[in-house]
Amino acid sequence: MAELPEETTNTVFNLQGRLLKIIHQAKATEFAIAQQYGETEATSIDLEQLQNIRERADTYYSRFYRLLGQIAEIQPTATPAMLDLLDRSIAEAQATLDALTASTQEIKRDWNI
Amino acid sequence: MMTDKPQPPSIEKVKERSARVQEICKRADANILILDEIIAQLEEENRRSPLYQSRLRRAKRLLNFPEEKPENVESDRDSATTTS
Repeated sequence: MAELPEETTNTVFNLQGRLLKIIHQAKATEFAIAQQYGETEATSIDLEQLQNIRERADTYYSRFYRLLGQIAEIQPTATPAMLDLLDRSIAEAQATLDALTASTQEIKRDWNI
Repeated sequence: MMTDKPQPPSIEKVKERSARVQEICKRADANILILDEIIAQLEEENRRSPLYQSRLRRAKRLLNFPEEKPENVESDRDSATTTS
């Protein structure tokens, strides 16, 4: 199997764990806001953003799953250009995840949830 | 005045946040598109591998599916393709 550096694999697993948390947090917050505040102009906007956040996290999760599977199969090895692209994508995903997590927490805080 | 329920955030604040989240989502979408491209390239590479190609040839023979003749490889069986 094309071996990814263990560190990269662990980083991706870690990302996937965080993605699941974001999916859960976004959904739980969406549910709580809808229940406690009903439908207003302000709630509609934040509910939509929570859905956007959850959707991205979900898509990221499935892409990383497929990526690891394909890389494991590659013979004899993935090209350095490919690995470089992968590293950059992982770094970008981490930054995006931080931003999505922060936004979810901000929404939670604002609605006292 | 209601005092038992916490104040919801102002509409201005919510709108400002919405714009910010949408920017993040735009970056996420661009990033996901690149991931799709990487996955497609890896899939293509895996499909081109000799191991995969010979399995595919065997599968086609087993099911009598028409086979494209790969260059440099002689077909060692009767072709199942029909003559028109």
